Amino acid sequence: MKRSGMFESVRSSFGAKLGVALLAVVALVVGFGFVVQEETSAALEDEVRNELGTSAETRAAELDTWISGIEGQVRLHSTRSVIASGDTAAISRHLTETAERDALPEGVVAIHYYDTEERTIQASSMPRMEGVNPAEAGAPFATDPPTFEGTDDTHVTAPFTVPVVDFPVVSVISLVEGTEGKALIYMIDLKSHTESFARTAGQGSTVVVDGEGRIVAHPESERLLTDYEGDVSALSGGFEEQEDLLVAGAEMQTLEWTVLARSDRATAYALGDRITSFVVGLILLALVSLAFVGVVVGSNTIVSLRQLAGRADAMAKGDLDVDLSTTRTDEFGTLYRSFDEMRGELRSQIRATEEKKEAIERKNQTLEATAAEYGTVMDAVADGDLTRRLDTDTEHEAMADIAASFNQMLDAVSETMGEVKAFSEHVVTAAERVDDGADEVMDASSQVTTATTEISDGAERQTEALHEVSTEMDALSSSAEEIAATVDEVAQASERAAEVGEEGQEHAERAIEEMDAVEQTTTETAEEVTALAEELDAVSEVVDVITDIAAETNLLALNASIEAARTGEEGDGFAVVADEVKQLAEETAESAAEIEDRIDRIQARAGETTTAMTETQARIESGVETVEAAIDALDNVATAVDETDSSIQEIRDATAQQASSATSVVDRVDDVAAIGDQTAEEATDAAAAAQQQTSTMTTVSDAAEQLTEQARELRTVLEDFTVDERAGSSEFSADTGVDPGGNGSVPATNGSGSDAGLRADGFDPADPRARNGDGAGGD
Amino acid sequence: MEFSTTLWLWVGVAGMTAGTLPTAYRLLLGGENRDLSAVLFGITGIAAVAYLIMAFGYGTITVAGSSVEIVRYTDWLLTTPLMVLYLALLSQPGRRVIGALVAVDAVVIVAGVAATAAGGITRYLLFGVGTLAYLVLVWLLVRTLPRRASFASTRQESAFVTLRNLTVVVWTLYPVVWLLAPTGVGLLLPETQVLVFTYLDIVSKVGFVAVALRGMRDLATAETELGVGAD
Repeated sequence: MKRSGMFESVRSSFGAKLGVALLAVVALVVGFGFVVQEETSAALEDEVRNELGTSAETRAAELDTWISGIEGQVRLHSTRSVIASGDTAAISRHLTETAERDALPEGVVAIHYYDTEERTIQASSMPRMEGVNPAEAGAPFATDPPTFEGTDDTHVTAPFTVPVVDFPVVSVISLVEGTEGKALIYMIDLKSHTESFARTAGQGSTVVVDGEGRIVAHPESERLLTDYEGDVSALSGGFEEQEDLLVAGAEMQTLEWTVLARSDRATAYALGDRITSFVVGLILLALVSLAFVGVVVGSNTIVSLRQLAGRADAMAKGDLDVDLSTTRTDEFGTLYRSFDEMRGELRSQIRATEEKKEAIERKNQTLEATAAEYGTVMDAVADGDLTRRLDTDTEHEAMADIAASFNQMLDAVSETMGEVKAFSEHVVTAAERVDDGADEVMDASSQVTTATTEISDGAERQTEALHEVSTEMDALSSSAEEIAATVDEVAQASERAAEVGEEGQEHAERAIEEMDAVEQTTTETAEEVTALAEELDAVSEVVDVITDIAAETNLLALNASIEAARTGEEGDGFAVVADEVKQLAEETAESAAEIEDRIDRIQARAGETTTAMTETQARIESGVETVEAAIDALDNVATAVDETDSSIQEIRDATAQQASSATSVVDRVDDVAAIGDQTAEEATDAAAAAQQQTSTMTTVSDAAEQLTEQARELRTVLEDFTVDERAGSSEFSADTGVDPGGNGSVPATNGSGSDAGLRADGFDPADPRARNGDGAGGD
Repeated sequence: MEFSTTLWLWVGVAGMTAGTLPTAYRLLLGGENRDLSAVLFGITGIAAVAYLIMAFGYGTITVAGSSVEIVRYTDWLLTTPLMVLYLALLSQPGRRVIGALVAVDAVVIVAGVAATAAGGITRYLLFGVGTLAYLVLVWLLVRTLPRRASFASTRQESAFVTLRNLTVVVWTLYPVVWLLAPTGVGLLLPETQVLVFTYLDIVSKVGFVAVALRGMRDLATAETELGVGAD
């Protein structure tokens, strides 16, 4: 589903299609670029391998040539007569000369004449080497002497170092012919030779490894005679890629040495990298170009198409004035012009259609005019002028037919209308008679109603009067009950009065006792007061005595003071005492006078008190008399109350009897009132019936009036119709003429239509109420 | 004739100069849409100067052992916001969106410079940051800008869509080249990288200016037609 959806979305979009196509091209370019790069790289690598292998082999052959050259020369040299002579001095001279003449092969730095049995170098081109014991120095040809098959055989030693020289040495040894154990040794300076050898292999370098895995030749001389870290045997004739080196190996023919041609990996593959870079660059350039073209052309095309589609849509929706101008001259320009032409064509077609439409509209207009004319005539006909006719002289056949048919119809209608008119006249007359009859019935009915209403009113008034009597009796009964209740209360009150009278008597008797007690006490008090006055007289005599004493004392004091004055100064103290005594006597006299005054006043009061007492006694005596009179009066009251009580009892009995009589009267009156109510109700029912009858008759009358009105209206309406005089008048003229108009009934021969009409208005001749009403009217 | 880095840079100088001439001419003549013309002039003009400097061999500095083409990145840091600004001027999306566009664009370029200068894992982390910012920029250009845009005419919209698509598609190739170049896996040698970048620059800038100028001419024509229609 998802895939098909994606497929659909690509199918429906030009941009997506273009994008997919461009992506396909890009994928193709990238894919092919990848193939080219892979192929080129593979070919290039093969090339590099082959080249390196060849280089290794060449170098090995070179080294072979060099070594075998030296071997040949050693062999040849050893056959020289000087060497074979055994004359050490001569040999030494010869070797030195040879070295000086530069006749030695490349790389050979010295020649030694060596005695294998004594193991000493007997002569040498290097004088310091003469007499040296190589075995002591550790030269392998001395410590481990090689075996020779003959004088033509040579031996190449493994590289070694000796203390005498500061470089690694390889020696080539050949036995001297015709001597016993003498050998000629060429000493090769490995360092100086291999350094140049190792470096001359193009951009790379050469390494030589001997059979024991030691480096014999290396561009870096310090690595000579160190162990080679790789597996040499695997490399002989093979190829190996190390971290940043490519190595190819080749074995030497003459020795068990392996020559390794090495090349810097980056340098070796530089061309490949450049090609890869160019291929990738080319792909990217193609990609950029495709992207640019695709985006510009694609976006432009899509936008142009969308705009054109938008304008086509607008045209499809009726807007023919869209802008279709363009400055483009390509296919889009053509498309725009095509659309423009199409629009022109559309416009002309639309114009033609509009012309046709106008013709039809004109025809419609004449039709409409005819129709309007017909309409006017028909309106007149509708208004009642049945004399008008449609004009059949028109260009439309259908319209002419319509006119003819209509005219025919009008003829028929006109005739019918005349008949209807005559009939309506007849109906009016009949209905007027019915109306009159109904009015009479109604009047009679109204009179009945009035009479019945009067009866009803009378009964109602009677009932009301009875109700009033009943109410009055109720009131009477209740007032009698109230009187009984009041009499009870009065009885109770008189009882309470009798009780109060008795209580008053008791209280009056107690008052008399109290008053007697007061009188006695008052008499006692008066005696006491008289006694007090006598006592006070005695006190007054004592005070007189004191007054006399005080006067004498005063006189004494005066005398004393005179006596003191006479005695002079010595009597001063006595004078003071006399003075004081005099003062005391005076004060005592004053106090005595005061006491006497008081006693006089008390005695006066006592006199007054005694008089008051006497008065009180007299009053009490009169009070006692009054109280005794009151007791007598109260006795009389009690007697009167008893009498009142018995009278009240009699009144109560009478009242109760009165109340029960009133209740029975009320019951009777209620019965009478109920009868009155019933009478009133029945009278009301009778009045209602009479009223209903009246209203029914009113309905009848209204109906008859309505019928008359409608018959009149019909007549008026029919009068609007203008009909030929002859139409329909003959049939009814005879009937109206014959009917005397006596009872209002329409003859059955022609009245079925009008009967139905009457019934429809609500008047049914069979209705019993209507008959009753009629009867009432008659009464 | 040797195909070298310098040669490609001189090609760049020539291409950018050629791309600058029409806008310079328009600016000298004056007339309508001077601001738009000025932005277009800035795009190829700055690039032409940058290529001239690089052609004379002053384009590179060494930062922490890595050589960084500082002039090229400066060129991008100035011209890419101008191109984004031109798109924004066409679509009138409002100040906030323009600000966001220019800011995100600057992040993309600065992250690229930093990634080139850095080494090891940091380099790819920064490259990731740049890629992320670039995706945001693409989202803004493809989604936000058209939604907020208020185009005066369909022709203007057409010009905007073409330029926007061109920018998005061609710019997407820059990180691809960056990854293929010595800055990434090293399949491209430096001289080829310079060639590809030069071509990309010419297409994205001169192509952009060319399409923009054509759109501007359409715009002018449309306005004239409208004027006639109103009569």
